Amino acid sequence: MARRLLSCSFLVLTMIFLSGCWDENPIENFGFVIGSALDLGEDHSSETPSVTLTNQFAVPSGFTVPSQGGGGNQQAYKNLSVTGNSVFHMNRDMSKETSLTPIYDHLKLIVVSSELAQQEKMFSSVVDFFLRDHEMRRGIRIVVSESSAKSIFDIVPKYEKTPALYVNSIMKNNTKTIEVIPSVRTAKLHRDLLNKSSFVIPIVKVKGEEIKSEGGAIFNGPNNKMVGKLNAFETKGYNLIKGKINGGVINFQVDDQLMVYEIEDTSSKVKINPENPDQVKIDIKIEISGSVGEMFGHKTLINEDYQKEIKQKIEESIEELIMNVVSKAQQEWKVDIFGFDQKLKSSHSGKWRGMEGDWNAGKQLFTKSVINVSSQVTLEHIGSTDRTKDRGVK
Amino acid sequence: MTGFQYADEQLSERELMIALPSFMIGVEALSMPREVASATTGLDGVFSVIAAGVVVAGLTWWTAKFVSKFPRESFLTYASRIVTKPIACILSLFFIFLFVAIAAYQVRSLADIGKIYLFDQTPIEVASLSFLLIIVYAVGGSRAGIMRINMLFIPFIIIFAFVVFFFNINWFEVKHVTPLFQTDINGYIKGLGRSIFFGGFIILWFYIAYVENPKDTPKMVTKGILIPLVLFTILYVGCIAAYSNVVTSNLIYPTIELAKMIEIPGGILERFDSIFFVIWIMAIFNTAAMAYDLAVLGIQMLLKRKGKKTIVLSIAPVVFFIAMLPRNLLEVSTFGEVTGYVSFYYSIAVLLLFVIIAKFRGVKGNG
Repeated sequence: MARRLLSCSFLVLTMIFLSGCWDENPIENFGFVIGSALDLGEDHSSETPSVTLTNQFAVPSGFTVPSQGGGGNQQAYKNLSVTGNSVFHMNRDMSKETSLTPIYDHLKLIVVSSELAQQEKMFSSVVDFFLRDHEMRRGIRIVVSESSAKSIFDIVPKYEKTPALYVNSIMKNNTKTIEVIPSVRTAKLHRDLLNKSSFVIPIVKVKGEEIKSEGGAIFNGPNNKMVGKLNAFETKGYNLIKGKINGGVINFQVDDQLMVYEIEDTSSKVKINPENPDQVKIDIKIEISGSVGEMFGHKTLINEDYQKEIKQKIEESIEELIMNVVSKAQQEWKVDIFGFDQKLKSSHSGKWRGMEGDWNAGKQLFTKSVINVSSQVTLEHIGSTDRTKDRGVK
Repeated sequence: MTGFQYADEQLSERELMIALPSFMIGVEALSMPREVASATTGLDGVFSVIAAGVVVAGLTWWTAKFVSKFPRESFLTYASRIVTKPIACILSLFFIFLFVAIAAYQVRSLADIGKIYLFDQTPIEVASLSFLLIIVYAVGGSRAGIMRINMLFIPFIIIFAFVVFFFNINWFEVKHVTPLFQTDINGYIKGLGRSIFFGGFIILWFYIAYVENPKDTPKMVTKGILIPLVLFTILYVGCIAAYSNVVTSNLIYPTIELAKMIEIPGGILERFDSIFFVIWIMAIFNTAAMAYDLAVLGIQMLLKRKGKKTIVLSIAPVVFFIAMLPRNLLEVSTFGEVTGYVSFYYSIAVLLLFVIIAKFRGVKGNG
């Protein structure tokens, strides 16, 4: 009997100790970070420049549809800024300022201001935390803001619940058009940082109440800082070289009349011949299929000669777009943003080993390479009508 | 208190075929891609993994063939006939020590990984102890119970490895896989060494004794190796194709990161990794439980005692103590590596020793 009692009381005692949970943390105590913005801080006294981290927290009650007569529209987010030297440290400080512990499992977007990105070696240091921390996922999108990164989080979005989600959906939805730089996610960023290759990150701008993705920030791999910007025109050329576009338009002139070519599919083939490392030959071949989207003239399009002329004009404007960005990359930014280095590494790895250090840096072999472009355009159809105006009108 | 008694302690050949992959798939599967990738370039490591699988399959077949010549004889019995009793005892002692070390390593790694990804406040000691107690409970029962758990878990483990692979396909890029065949021969060999994934066939020395008629066993267990081979191959290919070689060799647990990368459209399931953890803890549990069980079995064999519960409870503190010895992640992984290599080469050494001496002394099996 005594033994039975003893074992019974032992079981009851175990129950008390086993029912606890060390990591018990009510969900209300968590602050779900959905966006992080990184700016250059104002304090320049120490050797490493200080950084301001602005986290956008989701406020769950703002996401639900307000009940009838309820408190109206509650904001679905809350921004909080902290300045410091390390991101991890700022993160700690943030939990001191609020009752919430920031957790990053649902982080969607990182915004880095161009001012911060232009600092020497700062970019990889500030994103380190987002690649290292175990809470981070590897699909976080990263953008560069033209103005301060914080200002991106301050606009009031019309169609999305929070600014971070708004930017995220902008980045998500226009990935394959010719006008914008495809979104960059941390998994790819990590690869490029480790490979020391140069890369382009989309730039976002605040325009009134809206946010626009326009152009890209060029990062120099070895130096790890932003060295320039792609404008809208250069972005088109960049995207054409990278290929895999299935949307967007190219404007060109035929007989002094504007015509619009709508891209449906592109493919680009890059052939590299590194026989002579001081004069690497790069051939870019682009095939595009698409249709005429709009024309200002009044000539009939159902005419082989005229179509040939149109095709030739499109080819010319494509080659111009590409040569423009290529020559700028070679002369102004002096970095290979097109991924030729990866191509060299995978198809000429023997040669590549000898020139690896001299491609983007050192002897800057990229700037000495000879780049040729050729393009082939197919006109799939001309729309549902041939002409919309008679030739009499001018 | 009396525990529930299963009908028998026999193993069917199918159970043994499943036991082998269950024992092999453990913590190593989570970090294996890093170790192989850091020795090779591009996707070349996959050849190392496959070669390692073939080598292990061959050794498994040979071991099974040899052991099945002594049906229903315990290791001590047939080892004594081959190399005399004192040596057999020493060999078994070392086997027991290895199994204890393997169990301890699995327990410790599980606690470490859990602390990184799941519960950052819980002390490692507490997490290890709870996991160990569950293992003790499983081993305290019948061996058939552990085998049934193996059978039950392995389909889930296979399915989830495939899910992790296929749901990441949109991340795959051809340029991550190239350049192919650029690794020098040393790299391949290094990669092969690192993808030996535990000399899993070590369990055959003891478990074949429980198979009623081990005639087909060599064939069956060799088939069993296919499971880890396919699984490790797809996990490796998945990591390289999604991350590229250079990132994979820098991630501490590439397989976990691969599971974390999954995005199911619509946001129904944002955190797929939590499910992956549940499944993989089951895999680690199987490995640890079997290693523990084998240690118990070895001691039982040496002491000729039937009191299984006493042995189970008395080695628990030893396992726990060994699991707590490494002070940091680096030491844990060194511990794991050493245990893996030693058990692999020890098993080969014992096999060679037995084959040669059995031939020399004319010891014949009775099967």
